[in-house]
Amino acid sequence: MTRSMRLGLFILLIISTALITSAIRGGLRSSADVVWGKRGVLDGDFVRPRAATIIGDRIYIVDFTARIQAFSLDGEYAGITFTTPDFRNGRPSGLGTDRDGNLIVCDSHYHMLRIYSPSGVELRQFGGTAGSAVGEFGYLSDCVQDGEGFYYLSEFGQNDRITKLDREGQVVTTWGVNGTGPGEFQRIRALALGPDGLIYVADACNHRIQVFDRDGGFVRSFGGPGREAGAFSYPYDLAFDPSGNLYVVERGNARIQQLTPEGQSLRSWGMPGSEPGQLADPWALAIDRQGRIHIIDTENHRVQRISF
Amino acid sequence: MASMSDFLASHWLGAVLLLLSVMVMVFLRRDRSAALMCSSSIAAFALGGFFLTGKTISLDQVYNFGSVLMGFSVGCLVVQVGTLILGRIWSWQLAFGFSLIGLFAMGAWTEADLGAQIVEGCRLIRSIQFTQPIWLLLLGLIPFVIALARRSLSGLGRHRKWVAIGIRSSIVALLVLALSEPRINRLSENVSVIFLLDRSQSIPQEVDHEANLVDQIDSRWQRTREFVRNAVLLRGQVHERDRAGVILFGKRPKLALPPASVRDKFDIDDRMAGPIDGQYTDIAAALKLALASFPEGVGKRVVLVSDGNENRGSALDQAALAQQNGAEIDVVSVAPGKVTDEEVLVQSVESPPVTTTGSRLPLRVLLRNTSKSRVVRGLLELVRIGLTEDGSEKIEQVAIEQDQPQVLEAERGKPARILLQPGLNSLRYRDIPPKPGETSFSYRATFTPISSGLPSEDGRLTDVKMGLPNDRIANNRATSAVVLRGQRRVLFIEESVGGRSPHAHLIRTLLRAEIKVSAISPARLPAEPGDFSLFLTNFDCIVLANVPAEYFSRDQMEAIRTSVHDQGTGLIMIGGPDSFGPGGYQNTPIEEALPVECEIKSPLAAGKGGLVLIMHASEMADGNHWQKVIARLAIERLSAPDMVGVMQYGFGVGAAGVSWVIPFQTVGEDKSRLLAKIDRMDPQDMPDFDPFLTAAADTLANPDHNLSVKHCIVISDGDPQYGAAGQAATAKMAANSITCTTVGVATHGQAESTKMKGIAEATKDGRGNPGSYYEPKDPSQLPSIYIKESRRISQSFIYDKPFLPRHLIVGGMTEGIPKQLPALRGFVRTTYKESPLAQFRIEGPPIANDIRFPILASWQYGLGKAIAFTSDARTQPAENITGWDADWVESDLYKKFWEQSVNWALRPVEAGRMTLASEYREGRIRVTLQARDERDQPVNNLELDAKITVPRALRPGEPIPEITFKRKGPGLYEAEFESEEAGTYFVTVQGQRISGAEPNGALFDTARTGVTIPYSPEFADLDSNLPLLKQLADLTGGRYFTDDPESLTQLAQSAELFRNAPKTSRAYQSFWYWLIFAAGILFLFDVGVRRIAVEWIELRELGRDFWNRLRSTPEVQSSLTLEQLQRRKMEIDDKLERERAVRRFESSSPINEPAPPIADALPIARPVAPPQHRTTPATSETPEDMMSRLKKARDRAEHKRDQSSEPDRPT
Repeated sequence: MTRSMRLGLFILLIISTALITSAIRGGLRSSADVVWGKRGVLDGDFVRPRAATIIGDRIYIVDFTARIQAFSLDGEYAGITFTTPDFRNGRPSGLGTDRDGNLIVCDSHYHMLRIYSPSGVELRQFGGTAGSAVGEFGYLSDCVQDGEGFYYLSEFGQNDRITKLDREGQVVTTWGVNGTGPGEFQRIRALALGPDGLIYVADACNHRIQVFDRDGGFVRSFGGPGREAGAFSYPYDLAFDPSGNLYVVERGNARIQQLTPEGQSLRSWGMPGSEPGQLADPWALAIDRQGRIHIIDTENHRVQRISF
Repeated sequence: MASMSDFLASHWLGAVLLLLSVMVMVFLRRDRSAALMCSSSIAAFALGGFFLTGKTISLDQVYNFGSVLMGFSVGCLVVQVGTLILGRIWSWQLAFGFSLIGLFAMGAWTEADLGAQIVEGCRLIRSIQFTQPIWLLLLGLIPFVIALARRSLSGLGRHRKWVAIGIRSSIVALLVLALSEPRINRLSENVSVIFLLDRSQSIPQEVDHEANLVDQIDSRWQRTREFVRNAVLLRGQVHERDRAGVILFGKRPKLALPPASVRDKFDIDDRMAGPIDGQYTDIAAALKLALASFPEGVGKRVVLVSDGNENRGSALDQAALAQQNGAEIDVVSVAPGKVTDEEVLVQSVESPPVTTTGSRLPLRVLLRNTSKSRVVRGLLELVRIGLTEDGSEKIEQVAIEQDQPQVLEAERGKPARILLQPGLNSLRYRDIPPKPGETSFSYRATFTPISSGLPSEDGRLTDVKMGLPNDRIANNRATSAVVLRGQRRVLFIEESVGGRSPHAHLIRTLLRAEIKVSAISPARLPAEPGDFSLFLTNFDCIVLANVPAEYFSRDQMEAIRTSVHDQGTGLIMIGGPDSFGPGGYQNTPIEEALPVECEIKSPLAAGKGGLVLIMHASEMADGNHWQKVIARLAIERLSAPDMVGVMQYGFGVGAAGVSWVIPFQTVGEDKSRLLAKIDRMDPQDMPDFDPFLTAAADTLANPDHNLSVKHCIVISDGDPQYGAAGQAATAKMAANSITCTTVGVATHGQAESTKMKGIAEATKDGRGNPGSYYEPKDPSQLPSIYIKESRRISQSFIYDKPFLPRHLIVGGMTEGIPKQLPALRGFVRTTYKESPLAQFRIEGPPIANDIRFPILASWQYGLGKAIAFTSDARTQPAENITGWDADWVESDLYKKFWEQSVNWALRPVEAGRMTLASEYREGRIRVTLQARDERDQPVNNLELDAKITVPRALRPGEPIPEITFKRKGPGLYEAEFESEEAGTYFVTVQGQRISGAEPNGALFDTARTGVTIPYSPEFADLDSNLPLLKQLADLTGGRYFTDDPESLTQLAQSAELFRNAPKTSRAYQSFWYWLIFAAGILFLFDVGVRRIAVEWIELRELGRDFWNRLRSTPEVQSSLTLEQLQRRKMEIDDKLERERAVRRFESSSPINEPAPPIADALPIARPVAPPQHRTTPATSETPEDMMSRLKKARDRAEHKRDQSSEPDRPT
């Protein structure tokens, strides 16, 4: 055997080792790619994180101590921590990104929307009056802004409805009442704009997703209570990946479902527990440009990143 | 030289191995290469130990150099194996080289440790002792075993036979050794040091009084902590395995840090031990705890950091015990020689024990100024504490006598300004006490220092300093003995409703009967147990009229109990929905004093209640904590037959998230299991109420539970959804008489409150009353809400239908009350106490004839009398309010009944025929009693029954101090008892005349006195008790140190405290059970060796074949011709046959055996076939072959056994 043959064999050995490793990694897909975060009140830690959104290459997370903190997508603390002016009555429970790349904070218990720059400077606010009349709000749970600049706000509790605001904050339309029928809601936890231009609504206590056009016209709904694929238990957040798949995080079933926009379940991930790859009361998720899913694993005080 | 010997001491194994490698080279000349390999391997290991032990290398982190080398060599070997598998390339030289590196690294890793372990092992073996050495004689059996085995195992072949014999002999030896009970006798070289830190208040603090309040820390305590920390952490490498612990002590010792071999952290904090009562010092108890906390088999040393001022227990006695136990006491004396000067103590308030009406009462206050030269200016206040008509405390200033040199300024009604000379100062007062028979009273003196200075000749002060920095406030106040008089006063405790008394009619009736009644709401009672006891002495009977137990603290209840038991106060509990069982008096001191038990023992009587609690995580601060508090309270209030369930939202427990923390179940007698579950509860944020309400409705409505009261409580912030399913559930609740109470905690707004109110109002009980909605603004309101709510369940105690009570015993307190009583409209079910003292006077309607309920019961409890009236007294004709006793109010018996009952319960009149005087001296209270009859003649034939009330509530099971009077002279009796606690002691004496030998039953008189110990002796000590500390050290052979900063630092660094303990303790460790275990394992091997034969030749051939295939050395194989191979096969066959012939279980009949493996392994068809296509029949057949042979052998054995047992069978 010549020396060059031996060298070749050695290289082959290394390559095959690399191949086997990656194959094993592929086989162990059920565990998360990255698991990060721990319980704590110091900057960079959190206590029961409850909502998240991604702006650029940073993920913003709000927790039960009302702190909004920014991290890199790998979980390194980015040095930004701020809170809403007052949180004695309750903490913000929804985060969103507007089309200018600013942070929308649903100051749920103060019935208003606050918009912050990515560094945590408050830029503007809408609402602030509690009530059921048009322009007044109950418990604000989520907000999205579409490409034309309209804001869509969801509420629950006092009012179970969605309000559409123009970019100046004037009410364009509202729709929805408490109930179980089509177009009725019980606890809207989250909104998402689909690639098809429709609004997808996580109707948590009806255990379903409802789809509307942007003026409130009911399009379809899917799901229902249960544990099987396609059914939901307390869907608490939803988002689309760049290829147009819908992801729904279910608090009750402690899992993420990947669905078509029509509601056909494709895959699911997660089970109850506290090991990596297991979820305890997940409240939210966020999807980055690469289609990686960041799951807010609330009762485990951490974030798990997966890619389907 | 020393370093060389040190080196050899730790690397002796390396040296020995190096020597061995040289010897191998020298003596193994025959096989040069084998010798070289062997000796170089040994040398590599030894050299690794020599040169690399403890060496590190810093790459990205600091690594052990040995580990890096090891990793390298293992990695290289793995790569080599890889190349072998893939490329059939192998180099023995390289492999040997890498292995040498590996051995070198291994030496670095383990050589020194291995050496140390071997030494340790040898020491251990040397220290083995046999408890029963006689059994060792049985070792003589081994030769017999060998002889026997040689014969019986001769069929096994030479090697296996000797292995089997060896194993058998070992088993016998191990069993014999185990029988002789060997144990390791280790001389312990380790020391356990427990620091006892005195936290009593006599330890002078070092506080910078000039600094801000926040910065005022006690630098002495800081220094002590620092000292202990350094002493432990700087004890050095040699003492690394020594242990250290900490006990903090005051009145009681607390183990803050149990002895452990700490390395990096040893911080002491007061919080570790919980609150410490610094009012007393009990060094003895601390020593006792330390002795109990030492681990077994180590040297014991106590380091006592104290001023030695003990005022409880005897440290010397404990030190003697410590000495017997081989424990040493080192002493660090705190502030030796420091005298607490510049301190003022109010030593006592002296008042004459007997007061004569109208005369001015001479009083004296004694103060001690401890300073040797400085005079102290300050305010002295003496007040008389009495009682106003409505039962509240009345404080009046007593005027000081002006013509005293110390008095600078005395204004009426204000504290006097005085100047205290060094030493003892006596100040006189005069007071006109209130008329006897009106009220009891006591005197309290308080001194407040203003400034101190040195007196100069011109009468002015020089070097004036404001305040007294070292003064201890605790000893600036003293109270006089209490003057007590019976006044036939009744304390009527009730809760007013809307500012009005709910028992106004009864109170008016009693007042008409000339009984002094002070009605008071429980909130206005003194909260401090001491003050409360003092307050109670003003009354001769306590009436609890429909007041729930939660209004009293446990200490207050205990004060009421002792007041009845020890001071003869009467106790009457009047019923109502908040009394007895429903009022929560189960297992309280008050229940103990009552003639009835508040719990209903029979489940038949109770009528089961069912309660479901629904818990939602609260965003309120401490909300979850309060939820637990509430859940605990609710469960504690339920009675045994009731049922309870607790739900919370939990993740991962089904789609709806409904998780039963406590599944719906009967509460039972033992609630601790349920309470433990509550402690583990962790409710989460609930999205919707619906599944919970549905589950609660379904559970409570279940007819199988047979519930008479059904209730559900929801605690939430109102956030969850209340949808159609929830509304259906509340409708179901209403239909099934289930009430649901909702508690909105930190709701977010009106909408949530409305929602929760809606839930409560949608439910209805049997009478159409809805559930309640509460919105507490403060978490501390939650418990009372829950108590009220859980009382809904305990309504099963209440019987609220009219009935005719049966009057069982007429006479005594019910004298003149007719046998036929008017109807009552309800009562509270209780259980009658089985006691000969208890009298069951009036009875309510029974259940099934044998479960009876008292309406009126009475008994004598200690010196006092107690009455339980389980119906109520809430009827008020004037206000048109009807209670259960409406028909009684209208009849004539009402006034008579209550007057007689209260009079029966009242403390006997103090006629003044017996007078008590008491004094406190040196830890003992002496009580003197003078008894004179109506003609002022001394009475000598008295039987005296006396009871003491101590200042604090006794712990359960703690003995009550006893007091016995002895006659000292005509009509003069004396008794003495020990008193250590600060506070007021009450002594109550009842006297009966003895006619003949027996008391004649007639009460001669009662008398009471109180004596107050102003403050704990802790504050009387002014300097350290050095002699005691030195004695403690001397007695146990310890050393004595002082706590000045410099010597503390030195002491901490010297590791002196961890020096070897005087009497090195021995730790005996028996290990016979391990020997038995080993024998058991060997027994398995013994069987294995005999049953399983390993074909060494086959294995060798297999190995060779495997290696050849790995290397696929075609040269060898191609050189084999078919004939050669066949010849070889024949040879091996022969060899195998010979081997098998000697095998024990081999059958003589021919067995259809497969061909030897080597035959199939031959590359018959394709001698140079590519290796990856080669099959390996040999490896797959060998185990099968062996297994099948074993199986056959077993079958044959079974067959034989069957045959042999055949004739025994019955035919």
